[in-house]
Amino acid sequence: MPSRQEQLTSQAYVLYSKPYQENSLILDVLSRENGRIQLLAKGVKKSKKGLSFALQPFRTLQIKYLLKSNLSILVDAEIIENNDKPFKDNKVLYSAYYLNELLIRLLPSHEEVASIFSLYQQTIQSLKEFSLYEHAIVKSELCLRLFELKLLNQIGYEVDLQTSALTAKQIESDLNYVYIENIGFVSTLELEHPSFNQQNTIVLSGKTRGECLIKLGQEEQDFFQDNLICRQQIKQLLRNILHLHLGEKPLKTRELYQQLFVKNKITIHKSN
Amino acid sequence: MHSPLIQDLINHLKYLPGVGNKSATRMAYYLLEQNKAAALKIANSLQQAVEKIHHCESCRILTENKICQICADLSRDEKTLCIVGSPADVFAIEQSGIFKGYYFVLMGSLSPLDGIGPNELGLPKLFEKVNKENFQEIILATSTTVEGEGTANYIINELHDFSGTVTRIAFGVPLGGDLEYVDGSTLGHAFSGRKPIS
Repeated sequence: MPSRQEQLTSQAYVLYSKPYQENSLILDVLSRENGRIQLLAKGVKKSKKGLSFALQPFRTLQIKYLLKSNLSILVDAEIIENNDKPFKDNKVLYSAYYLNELLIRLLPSHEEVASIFSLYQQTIQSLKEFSLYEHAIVKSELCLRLFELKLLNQIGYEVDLQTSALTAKQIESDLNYVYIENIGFVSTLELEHPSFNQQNTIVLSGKTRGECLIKLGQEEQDFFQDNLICRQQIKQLLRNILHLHLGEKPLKTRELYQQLFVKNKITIHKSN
Repeated sequence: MHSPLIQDLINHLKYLPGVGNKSATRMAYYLLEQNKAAALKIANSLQQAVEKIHHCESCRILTENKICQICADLSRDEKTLCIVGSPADVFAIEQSGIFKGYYFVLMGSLSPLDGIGPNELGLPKLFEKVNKENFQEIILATSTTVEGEGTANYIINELHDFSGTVTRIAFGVPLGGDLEYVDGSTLGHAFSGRKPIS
Protein backbone atom coordinates (compact mmCIF):
# COMPACT_ATOMS: atom_id res chain seq x y z
CA MET A 1 0.00 0.00 0.00
CA PRO A 2 1.33 3.49 -0.80
CA SER A 3 2.24 5.89 2.00
CA ARG A 4 -0.83 7.06 3.87
CA GLN A 5 -0.87 10.69 2.88
CA GLU A 6 -0.06 10.24 -0.79
CA GLN A 7 -2.79 11.65 -3.00
CA LEU A 8 -3.96 9.09 -5.54
CA THR A 9 -5.89 9.48 -8.76
CA SER A 10 -8.19 6.92 -10.30
CA GLN A 11 -11.18 6.46 -12.52
CA ALA A 12 -14.15 5.48 -10.41
CA TYR A 13 -17.88 4.93 -10.17
CA VAL A 14 -20.02 5.71 -7.13
CA LEU A 15 -21.89 2.54 -6.17
CA TYR A 16 -23.72 3.93 -3.16
CA SER A 17 -23.76 7.09 -1.10
CA LYS A 18 -25.24 7.95 2.24
CA PRO A 19 -25.43 11.32 3.95
CA TYR A 20 -22.93 12.00 6.71
CA GLN A 21 -23.45 14.95 9.04
CA GLU A 22 -25.05 17.96 7.41
CA ASN A 23 -23.05 18.49 4.24
CA SER A 24 -20.95 15.38 3.74
CA LEU A 25 -21.37 11.99 2.13
CA ILE A 26 -19.91 8.57 2.73
CA LEU A 27 -19.41 6.89 -0.63
CA ASP A 28 -18.91 3.30 -1.66
CA VAL A 29 -16.85 3.58 -4.82
CA LEU A 30 -15.51 1.16 -7.42
CA SER A 31 -12.11 2.50 -8.48
CA ARG A 32 -9.86 1.22 -11.24
CA GLU A 33 -6.73 1.46 -9.10
CA ASN A 34 -7.84 0.28 -5.66
CA GLY A 35 -11.00 -1.74 -6.28
CA ARG A 36 -13.91 -1.06 -3.95
CA ILE A 37 -13.16 1.66 -1.42
CA GLN A 38 -15.16 3.71 1.05
CA LEU A 39 -14.64 7.45 0.83
CA LEU A 40 -15.58 10.37 3.04
CA ALA A 41 -16.62 13.28 0.84
CA LYS A 42 -16.45 16.24 3.25
CA GLY A 43 -18.73 19.21 2.72
CA VAL A 44 -19.67 18.21 -0.83
CA LYS A 45 -23.34 19.10 -0.43
CA LYS A 46 -22.50 22.79 -0.28
CA SER A 47 -19.58 22.62 -2.69
CA LYS A 48 -19.66 25.40 -5.28
CA LYS A 49 -17.98 23.12 -7.80
CA GLY A 50 -21.12 20.98 -8.01
CA LEU A 51 -19.36 17.97 -6.50
CA SER A 52 -22.54 16.43 -5.14
CA PHE A 53 -23.93 16.54 -8.69
CA ALA A 54 -20.91 14.64 -9.98
CA LEU A 55 -20.91 12.10 -7.15
CA GLN A 56 -23.84 10.07 -8.37
CA PRO A 57 -24.03 6.49 -9.54
CA PHE A 58 -23.29 5.44 -13.14
CA ARG A 59 -21.04 8.40 -13.99
CA THR A 60 -17.43 7.81 -14.93
CA LEU A 61 -15.42 9.97 -12.55
CA GLN A 62 -11.81 10.92 -12.13
CA ILE A 63 -11.28 11.04 -8.37
CA LYS A 64 -8.41 12.27 -6.25
CA TYR A 65 -8.23 10.74 -2.80
CA LEU A 66 -6.10 9.93 0.24
CA LEU A 67 -6.12 6.20 0.72
CA LYS A 68 -6.70 4.98 4.28
CA SER A 69 -7.20 1.48 5.56
CA ASN A 70 -10.90 1.92 6.28
CA LEU A 71 -12.41 5.29 5.36
CA SER A 72 -10.43 7.09 2.64
CA ILE A 73 -10.78 10.84 2.04
CA LEU A 74 -12.08 12.27 -1.22
CA VAL A 75 -10.11 15.32 -2.32
CA ASP A 76 -11.70 16.07 -5.68
CA ALA A 77 -13.87 14.50 -8.37
CA GLU A 78 -14.90 15.36 -11.89
CA ILE A 79 -17.03 13.69 -14.53
CA ILE A 80 -14.81 12.48 -17.37
CA GLU A 81 -17.44 11.09 -19.67
CA ASN A 82 -18.32 13.84 -22.12
CA ASN A 83 -21.50 12.27 -23.36
CA ASP A 84 -22.75 11.38 -19.91
CA LYS A 85 -26.01 9.77 -20.97
CA PRO A 86 -28.74 8.99 -18.46
CA PHE A 87 -30.68 5.72 -18.49
CA LYS A 88 -33.70 6.19 -20.70
CA ASP A 89 -35.50 3.12 -19.41
CA ASN A 90 -36.38 2.69 -15.76
CA LYS A 91 -36.22 -1.12 -15.76
CA VAL A 92 -32.66 -0.92 -17.05
CA LEU A 93 -31.81 1.79 -14.48
CA TYR A 94 -32.98 -0.37 -11.58
CA SER A 95 -31.15 -3.37 -13.06
CA ALA A 96 -27.98 -1.26 -12.99
CA TYR A 97 -28.59 -0.60 -9.27
CA TYR A 98 -28.75 -4.39 -8.92
CA LEU A 99 -25.20 -4.60 -10.28
CA ASN A 100 -24.10 -2.05 -7.68
CA GLU A 101 -25.65 -4.10 -4.91
CA LEU A 102 -23.97 -7.27 -6.20
CA LEU A 103 -20.58 -5.54 -6.11
CA ILE A 104 -21.17 -4.18 -2.61
CA ARG A 105 -22.24 -7.58 -1.34
CA LEU A 106 -19.69 -9.75 -3.17
CA LEU A 107 -16.55 -7.73 -3.76
CA PRO A 108 -14.29 -7.26 -0.72
CA SER A 109 -12.91 -3.74 -0.15
CA HIS A 110 -9.40 -2.83 -1.30
CA GLU A 111 -9.01 -5.74 -3.69
CA GLU A 112 -7.39 -4.33 -6.79
CA VAL A 113 -9.23 -5.98 -9.63
CA ALA A 114 -8.93 -3.83 -12.73
CA SER A 115 -10.87 -6.36 -14.78
CA ILE A 116 -13.95 -5.86 -12.57
CA PHE A 117 -13.71 -2.12 -13.16
CA SER A 118 -13.55 -2.64 -16.94
CA LEU A 119 -16.39 -5.18 -16.80
CA TYR A 120 -18.55 -2.76 -14.81
CA GLN A 121 -17.70 0.16 -17.09
CA GLN A 122 -18.52 -1.80 -20.25
CA THR A 123 -21.73 -3.18 -18.74
CA ILE A 124 -22.96 0.26 -17.65
CA GLN A 125 -22.16 1.73 -21.07
CA SER A 126 -23.97 -1.11 -22.86
CA LEU A 127 -26.99 -0.83 -20.55
CA LYS A 128 -27.22 2.92 -21.17
CA GLU A 129 -27.07 2.21 -24.90
CA PHE A 130 -29.75 -0.51 -24.72
CA SER A 131 -31.97 1.76 -22.63
CA LEU A 132 -32.49 3.98 -25.69
CA TYR A 133 -34.36 1.26 -27.56
CA GLU A 134 -37.76 -0.40 -27.34
CA HIS A 135 -37.81 -3.60 -25.25
CA ALA A 136 -34.68 -2.30 -23.54
CA ILE A 137 -34.79 -4.78 -20.67
CA VAL A 138 -34.98 -7.78 -23.04
CA LYS A 139 -31.95 -6.44 -24.93
CA SER A 140 -30.12 -5.88 -21.63
CA GLU A 141 -30.60 -9.37 -20.23
CA LEU A 142 -27.56 -11.08 -21.74
CA CYS A 143 -25.40 -8.17 -20.60
CA LEU A 144 -26.69 -8.58 -17.02
CA ARG A 145 -26.17 -12.35 -17.04
CA LEU A 146 -22.63 -12.01 -18.39
CA PHE A 147 -21.86 -9.53 -15.62
CA GLU A 148 -23.09 -12.02 -13.01
CA LEU A 149 -21.09 -14.85 -14.60
CA LYS A 150 -17.86 -12.86 -14.93
CA LEU A 151 -18.21 -11.44 -11.43
CA LEU A 152 -18.53 -14.99 -10.09
CA ASN A 153 -15.38 -15.93 -12.01
CA GLN A 154 -13.52 -12.94 -10.61
CA ILE A 155 -14.37 -13.75 -7.01
CA GLY A 156 -13.03 -17.24 -7.55
CA TYR A 157 -16.12 -19.20 -8.47
CA GLU A 158 -15.68 -20.35 -12.03
CA VAL A 159 -18.78 -21.64 -13.80
CA ASP A 160 -17.63 -23.92 -16.63
CA LEU A 161 -20.11 -23.60 -19.48
CA GLN A 162 -18.14 -25.89 -21.81
CA THR A 163 -17.99 -29.30 -20.24
CA SER A 164 -20.17 -31.72 -18.41
CA ALA A 165 -18.60 -32.14 -14.97
CA LEU A 166 -18.81 -35.91 -14.58
CA THR A 167 -17.79 -37.09 -18.03
CA ALA A 168 -15.68 -34.09 -19.15
CA LYS A 169 -17.61 -34.24 -22.44
CA GLN A 170 -18.61 -31.06 -24.27
CA ILE A 171 -21.99 -29.66 -23.26
CA GLU A 172 -24.48 -30.82 -25.92
CA SER A 173 -27.09 -28.43 -27.18
CA ASP A 174 -29.95 -30.95 -27.20
CA LEU A 175 -29.49 -32.21 -23.65
CA ASN A 176 -30.83 -30.71 -20.45
CA TYR A 177 -28.44 -29.95 -17.61
CA VAL A 178 -28.68 -29.26 -13.91
CA TYR A 179 -26.04 -27.47 -11.87
CA ILE A 180 -24.73 -29.31 -8.83
CA GLU A 181 -23.00 -27.39 -6.07
CA ASN A 182 -19.21 -27.93 -6.04
CA ILE A 183 -19.43 -30.21 -9.09
CA GLY A 184 -20.78 -28.30 -12.10
CA PHE A 185 -23.16 -29.12 -14.92
CA VAL A 186 -24.47 -32.64 -15.17
CA SER A 187 -26.86 -33.76 -17.87
CA THR A 188 -30.21 -35.09 -16.70
CA LEU A 189 -29.33 -38.40 -18.43
CA GLU A 190 -26.22 -38.75 -16.26
CA LEU A 191 -28.18 -37.72 -13.20
CA GLU A 192 -30.74 -40.49 -13.77
CA HIS A 193 -28.08 -43.10 -14.47
CA PRO A 194 -27.94 -45.75 -11.72
CA SER A 195 -24.17 -45.30 -11.36
CA PHE A 196 -24.57 -41.69 -10.27
CA ASN A 197 -24.39 -41.30 -6.54
CA GLN A 198 -26.98 -38.70 -5.60
CA GLN A 199 -25.98 -38.61 -1.97
CA ASN A 200 -24.45 -35.36 -0.76
CA THR A 201 -25.28 -33.56 -3.97
CA ILE A 202 -27.19 -30.30 -3.96
CA VAL A 203 -28.87 -29.59 -7.27
CA LEU A 204 -28.87 -25.81 -7.56
CA SER A 205 -31.04 -25.24 -10.58
CA GLY A 206 -33.89 -26.62 -12.58
CA LYS A 207 -33.16 -27.92 -16.04
CA THR A 208 -31.20 -25.69 -18.39
CA ARG A 209 -30.94 -26.59 -22.05
CA GLY A 210 -27.40 -27.22 -23.27
CA GLU A 211 -28.02 -24.84 -26.14
CA CYS A 212 -28.67 -21.97 -23.68
CA LEU A 213 -25.36 -22.66 -21.89
CA ILE A 214 -23.43 -22.80 -25.16
CA LYS A 215 -24.99 -19.55 -26.43
CA LEU A 216 -24.29 -17.85 -23.10
CA GLY A 217 -20.63 -18.83 -23.42
CA GLN A 218 -20.61 -17.46 -26.98
CA GLU A 219 -22.34 -14.22 -25.81
CA GLU A 220 -24.95 -14.52 -28.58
CA GLN A 221 -26.98 -11.34 -28.18
CA ASP A 222 -29.55 -12.06 -30.92
CA PHE A 223 -30.19 -15.59 -29.68
CA PHE A 224 -31.00 -14.38 -26.16
CA GLN A 225 -33.16 -11.53 -27.40
CA ASP A 226 -35.35 -14.00 -29.28
CA ASN A 227 -35.39 -16.84 -26.78
CA LEU A 228 -37.53 -16.26 -23.69
CA ILE A 229 -37.08 -19.77 -22.29
CA CYS A 230 -33.28 -19.54 -22.38
CA ARG A 231 -33.40 -16.10 -20.76
CA GLN A 232 -35.54 -17.47 -17.94
CA GLN A 233 -33.48 -20.63 -17.46
CA ILE A 234 -30.14 -18.80 -17.38
CA LYS A 235 -31.51 -16.10 -15.06
CA GLN A 236 -32.72 -18.73 -12.61
CA LEU A 237 -29.47 -20.70 -12.87
CA LEU A 238 -27.25 -17.70 -12.11
CA ARG A 239 -29.61 -16.49 -9.41
CA ASN A 240 -29.24 -19.83 -7.63
CA ILE A 241 -25.45 -19.87 -7.95
CA LEU A 242 -25.22 -16.27 -6.72
CA HIS A 243 -27.45 -17.16 -3.82
CA LEU A 244 -24.67 -19.44 -2.53
CA HIS A 245 -22.42 -16.42 -2.15
CA LEU A 246 -24.98 -13.85 -1.12
CA GLY A 247 -26.37 -15.83 1.79
CA GLU A 248 -29.85 -15.53 3.21
CA LYS A 249 -30.13 -11.74 3.21
CA PRO A 250 -32.31 -10.83 0.20
CA LEU A 251 -31.18 -8.31 -2.39
CA LYS A 252 -32.94 -4.98 -1.81
CA THR A 253 -32.71 -4.01 -5.47
CA ARG A 254 -34.44 -7.23 -6.54
CA GLU A 255 -37.24 -6.62 -4.04
CA LEU A 256 -37.69 -3.07 -5.30
CA TYR A 257 -37.70 -4.21 -8.94
CA GLN A 258 -40.45 -6.70 -8.10
CA GLN A 259 -42.47 -3.99 -6.33
CA LEU A 260 -42.05 -1.49 -9.14
CA PHE A 261 -42.55 -3.61 -12.19
CA VAL A 262 -44.02 -6.97 -11.31
CA LYS A 263 -46.39 -6.89 -8.34
CA ASN A 264 -49.98 -5.56 -8.08
CA LYS A 265 -50.03 -1.96 -9.17
CA ILE A 266 -52.71 0.70 -8.84
CA THR A 267 -53.80 1.69 -12.30
CA ILE A 268 -54.84 5.16 -13.28
CA HIS A 269 -58.40 5.28 -14.64
CA LYS A 270 -58.69 6.58 -18.16
CA SER A 271 -61.97 8.25 -17.28
CA ASN A 272 -60.21 10.77 -15.04
CA MET B 1 -16.31 13.86 33.18
CA HIS B 2 -19.92 14.98 33.04
CA SER B 3 -22.50 13.78 35.50
CA PRO B 4 -24.67 10.95 34.14
CA LEU B 5 -27.69 13.16 33.41
CA ILE B 6 -25.61 15.76 31.59
CA GLN B 7 -23.83 13.05 29.65
CA ASP B 8 -27.23 11.65 28.63
CA LEU B 9 -28.33 15.08 27.43
CA ILE B 10 -25.12 15.51 25.42
CA ASN B 11 -25.53 12.08 23.87
CA HIS B 12 -29.12 12.81 22.90
CA LEU B 13 -28.29 16.23 21.42
CA LYS B 14 -25.83 14.44 19.14
CA TYR B 15 -28.80 12.83 17.40
CA LEU B 16 -29.34 16.19 15.66
CA PRO B 17 -27.80 16.51 12.19
CA GLY B 18 -24.47 18.32 12.15
CA VAL B 19 -24.09 18.19 15.95
CA GLY B 20 -20.97 16.47 17.23
CA ASN B 21 -19.59 16.07 20.73
CA LYS B 22 -18.30 19.63 21.11
CA SER B 23 -21.46 21.36 19.91
CA ALA B 24 -23.64 19.04 21.98
CA THR B 25 -21.59 19.80 25.11
CA ARG B 26 -21.81 23.55 24.48
CA MET B 27 -25.56 23.36 23.94
CA ALA B 28 -26.11 21.25 27.05
CA TYR B 29 -24.15 23.60 29.33
CA TYR B 30 -25.73 26.70 27.80
CA LEU B 31 -29.24 25.36 28.39
CA LEU B 32 -28.51 24.19 31.93
CA GLU B 33 -26.49 27.17 33.10
CA GLN B 34 -27.84 30.14 31.27
CA ASN B 35 -31.26 29.42 29.89
CA LYS B 36 -33.23 26.82 31.78
CA ALA B 37 -36.51 28.42 30.71
CA ALA B 38 -35.62 27.89 27.05
CA ALA B 39 -34.60 24.31 27.83
CA LEU B 40 -38.05 23.63 29.26
CA LYS B 41 -39.71 25.26 26.26
CA ILE B 42 -37.65 23.08 23.88
CA ALA B 43 -38.45 19.96 25.87
CA ASN B 44 -42.14 20.80 25.90
CA SER B 45 -42.23 21.65 22.18
CA LEU B 46 -40.44 18.46 21.27
CA GLN B 47 -42.79 16.37 23.34
CA GLN B 48 -45.86 18.05 21.88
CA ALA B 49 -44.59 17.88 18.32
CA VAL B 50 -43.56 14.23 18.51
CA GLU B 51 -46.92 13.26 19.99
CA LYS B 52 -49.12 15.29 17.69
CA ILE B 53 -47.35 15.70 14.34
CA HIS B 54 -48.08 13.16 11.62
CA HIS B 55 -48.42 13.07 7.84
CA CYS B 56 -51.28 15.02 6.23
CA GLU B 57 -53.77 12.45 4.98
CA SER B 58 -53.96 14.15 1.63
CA CYS B 59 -50.43 15.29 0.73
CA ARG B 60 -48.15 13.60 3.33
CA ILE B 61 -46.60 16.85 4.57
CA LEU B 62 -46.08 17.01 8.34
CA THR B 63 -48.97 18.58 10.26
CA GLU B 64 -50.80 18.32 13.58
CA ASN B 65 -54.16 18.35 11.80
CA LYS B 66 -55.76 15.57 9.81
CA ILE B 67 -55.41 17.71 6.70
CA CYS B 68 -52.65 20.34 6.43
CA GLN B 69 -53.27 24.07 5.92
CA ILE B 70 -52.46 23.94 2.22
CA CYS B 71 -54.77 21.00 1.48
CA ALA B 72 -57.53 22.61 3.59
CA ASP B 73 -57.31 25.88 1.63
CA LEU B 74 -60.22 25.74 -0.80
CA SER B 75 -59.14 28.90 -2.63
CA ARG B 76 -56.20 27.10 -4.24
CA ASP B 77 -56.22 25.82 -7.82
CA GLU B 78 -57.78 22.36 -7.62
CA LYS B 79 -56.73 21.49 -11.16
CA THR B 80 -52.98 21.27 -10.56
CA LEU B 81 -50.95 18.95 -8.40
CA CYS B 82 -47.22 19.36 -7.81
CA ILE B 83 -45.20 16.32 -6.71
CA VAL B 84 -42.12 17.17 -4.63
CA GLY B 85 -39.49 15.22 -2.71
CA SER B 86 -39.58 16.91 0.70
CA PRO B 87 -41.49 19.44 2.86
CA ALA B 88 -38.56 21.85 2.38
CA ASP B 89 -39.38 21.85 -1.37
CA VAL B 90 -42.98 22.84 -0.56
CA PHE B 91 -41.79 25.76 1.58
CA ALA B 92 -39.37 26.89 -1.15
CA ILE B 93 -42.12 26.85 -3.80
CA GLU B 94 -44.61 28.51 -1.42
CA GLN B 95 -42.14 31.30 -0.66
CA SER B 96 -41.73 31.99 -4.36
CA GLY B 97 -45.53 32.43 -4.56
CA ILE B 98 -45.44 31.03 -8.08
CA PHE B 99 -47.65 28.00 -7.61
CA LYS B 100 -51.19 28.00 -6.29
CA GLY B 101 -52.23 24.38 -6.69
CA TYR B 102 -51.94 21.44 -4.31
CA TYR B 103 -48.92 19.30 -3.43
CA PHE B 104 -47.99 15.72 -2.87
CA VAL B 105 -44.83 15.14 -0.81
CA LEU B 106 -42.93 11.90 -1.43
CA MET B 107 -40.56 12.34 1.54
CA GLY B 108 -37.62 11.00 -0.48
CA SER B 109 -36.87 9.17 -3.74
CA LEU B 110 -36.98 5.56 -4.81
CA SER B 111 -33.71 4.33 -3.38
CA PRO B 112 -32.94 0.73 -4.34
CA LEU B 113 -29.97 0.17 -2.05
CA ASP B 114 -31.74 1.68 0.96
CA GLY B 115 -34.84 -0.42 0.33
CA ILE B 116 -37.02 2.68 -0.19
CA GLY B 117 -39.77 1.62 -2.54
CA PRO B 118 -43.13 2.90 -3.78
CA ASN B 119 -44.92 2.17 -0.50
CA GLU B 120 -42.42 4.19 1.56
CA LEU B 121 -43.02 7.14 -0.80
CA GLY B 122 -46.79 6.81 -0.54
CA LEU B 123 -47.14 6.19 -4.28
CA PRO B 124 -50.29 4.03 -3.90
CA LYS B 125 -51.82 7.02 -2.06
CA LEU B 126 -50.69 9.38 -4.84
CA PHE B 127 -52.26 7.26 -7.58
CA GLU B 128 -55.46 6.94 -5.52
CA LYS B 129 -55.52 10.74 -5.14
CA VAL B 130 -55.07 11.22 -8.90
CA ASN B 131 -57.91 8.78 -9.55
CA LYS B 132 -60.25 10.40 -7.04
CA GLU B 133 -59.66 14.06 -7.73
CA ASN B 134 -60.03 16.00 -10.91
CA PHE B 135 -56.54 17.28 -11.73
CA GLN B 136 -55.79 18.58 -15.19
CA GLU B 137 -52.05 18.97 -14.73
CA ILE B 138 -49.55 17.06 -12.64
CA ILE B 139 -46.19 18.81 -12.23
CA LEU B 140 -43.19 16.70 -11.28
CA ALA B 141 -40.72 18.71 -9.21
CA THR B 142 -38.56 15.86 -7.86
CA SER B 143 -34.80 16.32 -7.53
CA THR B 144 -32.37 16.01 -10.44
CA THR B 145 -30.29 13.23 -8.90
CA VAL B 146 -30.24 9.80 -10.56
CA GLU B 147 -32.67 8.61 -7.88
CA GLY B 148 -34.93 11.65 -8.30
CA GLU B 149 -35.03 11.17 -12.08
CA GLY B 150 -35.74 7.45 -11.64
CA THR B 151 -38.62 8.30 -9.31
CA ALA B 152 -40.01 10.88 -11.76
CA ASN B 153 -39.77 8.45 -14.67
CA TYR B 154 -41.52 5.73 -12.69
CA ILE B 155 -44.38 8.10 -11.78
CA ILE B 156 -44.62 9.31 -15.40
CA ASN B 157 -44.90 5.67 -16.60
CA GLU B 158 -47.57 4.89 -14.04
CA LEU B 159 -49.53 7.99 -15.07
CA HIS B 160 -49.60 7.08 -18.76
CA ASP B 161 -53.41 6.69 -18.67
CA PHE B 162 -53.94 10.01 -16.89
CA SER B 163 -56.05 12.12 -19.21
CA GLY B 164 -54.54 15.49 -18.22
CA THR B 165 -51.04 16.83 -18.79
CA VAL B 166 -47.98 15.58 -16.93
CA THR B 167 -45.13 18.10 -16.86
CA ARG B 168 -41.62 18.20 -15.43
CA ILE B 169 -40.14 21.48 -14.11
CA ALA B 170 -37.43 22.93 -16.36
CA PHE B 171 -33.72 22.51 -15.61
CA GLY B 172 -30.91 24.66 -16.86
CA VAL B 173 -28.84 27.78 -16.43
CA PRO B 174 -29.48 29.57 -13.10
CA LEU B 175 -30.62 33.20 -13.35
CA GLY B 176 -27.65 35.54 -13.11
CA GLY B 177 -25.26 32.69 -13.91
CA ASP B 178 -22.50 32.79 -16.52
CA LEU B 179 -22.63 30.02 -19.09
CA GLU B 180 -18.92 29.32 -18.80
CA TYR B 181 -19.35 28.16 -15.18
CA VAL B 182 -22.28 25.85 -15.86
CA ASP B 183 -21.42 22.13 -16.05
CA GLY B 184 -21.96 20.12 -19.25
CA SER B 185 -24.99 18.13 -18.11
CA THR B 186 -26.87 21.23 -16.94
CA LEU B 187 -26.05 23.01 -20.21
CA GLY B 188 -27.27 19.90 -22.06
CA HIS B 189 -30.61 20.15 -20.22
CA ALA B 190 -30.78 23.88 -20.90
CA PHE B 191 -30.28 23.30 -24.63
CA SER B 192 -32.62 20.34 -24.97
CA GLY B 193 -35.31 22.21 -23.01
CA ARG B 194 -35.00 25.49 -24.99
CA LYS B 195 -38.21 27.33 -25.86
CA PRO B 196 -39.19 29.21 -29.05
CA ILE B 197 -39.61 32.91 -28.30
CA SER B 198 -41.35 33.96 -31.49
